[in-house]
Amino acid sequence: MTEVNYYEQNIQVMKRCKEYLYIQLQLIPNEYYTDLVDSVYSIETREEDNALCVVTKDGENHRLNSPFHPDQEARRWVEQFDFHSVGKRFLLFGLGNGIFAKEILKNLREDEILIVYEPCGDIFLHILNNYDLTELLEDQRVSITVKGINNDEFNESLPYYIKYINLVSQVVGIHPKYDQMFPYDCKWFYTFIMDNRLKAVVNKNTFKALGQIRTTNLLKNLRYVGNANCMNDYVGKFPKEIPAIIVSAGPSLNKNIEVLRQAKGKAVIFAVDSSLRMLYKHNIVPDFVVTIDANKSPVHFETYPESYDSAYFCSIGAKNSIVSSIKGQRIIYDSDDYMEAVNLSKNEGISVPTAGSVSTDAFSICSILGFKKIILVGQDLAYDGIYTHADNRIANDNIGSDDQQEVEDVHGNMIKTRSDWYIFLQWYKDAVFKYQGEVIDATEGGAKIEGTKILTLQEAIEQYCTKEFDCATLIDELKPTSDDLYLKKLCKEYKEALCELDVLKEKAERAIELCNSLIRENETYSTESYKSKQMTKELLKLNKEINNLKVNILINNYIAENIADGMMDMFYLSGNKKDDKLLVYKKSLIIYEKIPSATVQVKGIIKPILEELEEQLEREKATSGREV
Amino acid sequence: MNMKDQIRKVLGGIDGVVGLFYQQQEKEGYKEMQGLIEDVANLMDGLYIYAKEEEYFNYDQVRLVEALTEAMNALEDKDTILLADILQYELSEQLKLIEQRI
Repeated sequence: MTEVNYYEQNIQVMKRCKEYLYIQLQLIPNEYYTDLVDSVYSIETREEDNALCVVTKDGENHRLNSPFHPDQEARRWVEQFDFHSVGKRFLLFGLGNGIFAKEILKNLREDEILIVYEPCGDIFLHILNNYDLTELLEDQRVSITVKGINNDEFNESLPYYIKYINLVSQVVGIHPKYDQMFPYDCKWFYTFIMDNRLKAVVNKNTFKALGQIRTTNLLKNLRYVGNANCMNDYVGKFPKEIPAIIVSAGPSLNKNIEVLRQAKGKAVIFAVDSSLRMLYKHNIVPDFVVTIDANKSPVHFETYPESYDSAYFCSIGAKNSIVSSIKGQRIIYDSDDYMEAVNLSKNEGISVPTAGSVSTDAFSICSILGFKKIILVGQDLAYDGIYTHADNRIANDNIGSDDQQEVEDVHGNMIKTRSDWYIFLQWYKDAVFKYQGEVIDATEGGAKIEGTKILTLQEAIEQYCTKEFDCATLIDELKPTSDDLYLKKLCKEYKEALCELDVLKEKAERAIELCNSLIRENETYSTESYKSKQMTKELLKLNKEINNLKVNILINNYIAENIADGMMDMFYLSGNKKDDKLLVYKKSLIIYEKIPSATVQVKGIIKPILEELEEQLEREKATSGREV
Repeated sequence: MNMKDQIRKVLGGIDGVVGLFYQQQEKEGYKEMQGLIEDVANLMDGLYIYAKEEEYFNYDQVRLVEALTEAMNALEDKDTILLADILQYELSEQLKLIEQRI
């Protein structure tokens, strides 16, 4: 090898292009080594002016590359993967000397991603010192995580880059020899990918099922945002020594609900909506209720209508009949793409990490608000025999036995859980790890949540609920003044939305005509005509114009349940240009065909709301005798 | 089957096996190897007889045997990448030279 300072070259590029990895690398000591391998060294290849990396592990030598032609080996290795899909996300276990990663990049388009996980810091440091990694470090399509150096990057890259919509484009590769050298990390790698895949599928199903309802709720709930608190109003307002208690509705709540009474006034009790009946049955009034479900059954609230008197942390997409019935203070804790596009969000700069469950949302809320101790009650995330919820309830969620799996419980035994609870368990594991405080699991049953301290609720209350705190006074002090300007702005945005909906309908109808013509042309002629090219150009232009309409965000969410599967299929191409174009036209047609009727329906939702709001503003104007 | 066809058959077999080993498909690679070993053995016999019958023809038998020995050593060590390399860059190259002389 020539005398080149590879380390300096690589570091300069890393500093510029992979800043987080660079910063984390500076934090490791100079004499850093792991105990994963005995040694790492490089030798020259037989044929080319090249080098290959050799790792000695447990006394055995593992050659990471071909001793003859590493480049050719990498080329043949990459041939096994299917690169036909678009929007590819290639996940590679093992960086080695970068030669396999570089070969993968040759097969990726500009908008595709390579996520590399290197399980051994020693190998990475050796490569950094002895090989030219600048091409990989410079490439914006590449994310590199090295275990022990920048672990977070992989944990965050995966859910960021891989969602339900591009699951078909996910490709997984294992660098030769890495599965043999690091079997435990390899298993973890696969498990993490599968868990992310499962989360993505659950998100897709949720997106698909609730798109229409959530959009309708959003449009009806926006009127309450003006008079509601937002997250920023409450951040840092709770004393650090006061814990939050999140009451969920798992079957174990039956055991310790009476004990919870002792915590009233010495902790801030957040009740997930499903736990309200149990709480009120035992005369326990929570400080806050958390509700997120777009289609929650009102029975949880109306069995004890006084539950509407509490202060509520509501998702903007929560069921409107519940949000409108709240008599206590509303705190809207999240936002929506449409709200942000029209500047109606009061939660700028705050994002509440969510896994789609009211309990996980409650945890995120408590974390952001600044609580340093969170006590979980009723958070089973597992079956108690056949029961799914407290009060001996069995939720009719159509979850079959095929969807069940076993996990460790709080006592070290195995217990049955289901796919959505399993995802929430994984979410909690990450969330608890990142949380800057202590999490106590006082459920006294159910699945073990990794990273939590397991206590009985009695023990948790005796240890952590020792100071008095008057939450009701705080809620009263933080009540916002009425915001008429917000209502006026909302009316303006709704009027604009009505106009945009007409424009969107017109453009979608023209797009449908074009798609049908393009499909006919494609099926009739073997080559693309000038007319087809012109129509394609017009279609692309229309698509851009449609995407620029703010109201398109609403319509996309509204029609989600009809297009979710179709959108996934669009990412897979056969490699035959003509067939692939036909696929894109047909799939696009499915989406465009949903738009005209959706615009009419959404107009039907907005119009009466707008009329009511305008009447309300007129009444307020008449009452106050001033311009609002 | 004439000599050239035999050589081409072996070259095709080598290419298949090499691809499988480079792609870490070891089980399939070993399976294909069984057939390839038999074809190579038949080819070696065929080349020996052909050289005796055809005065003008000669080949570097020593080098060929050396390559085969290296390949067998790699096979015994279960070093599939080295085996693939030897098949691809040593044995294949020798056989292509021999094919040109026939």
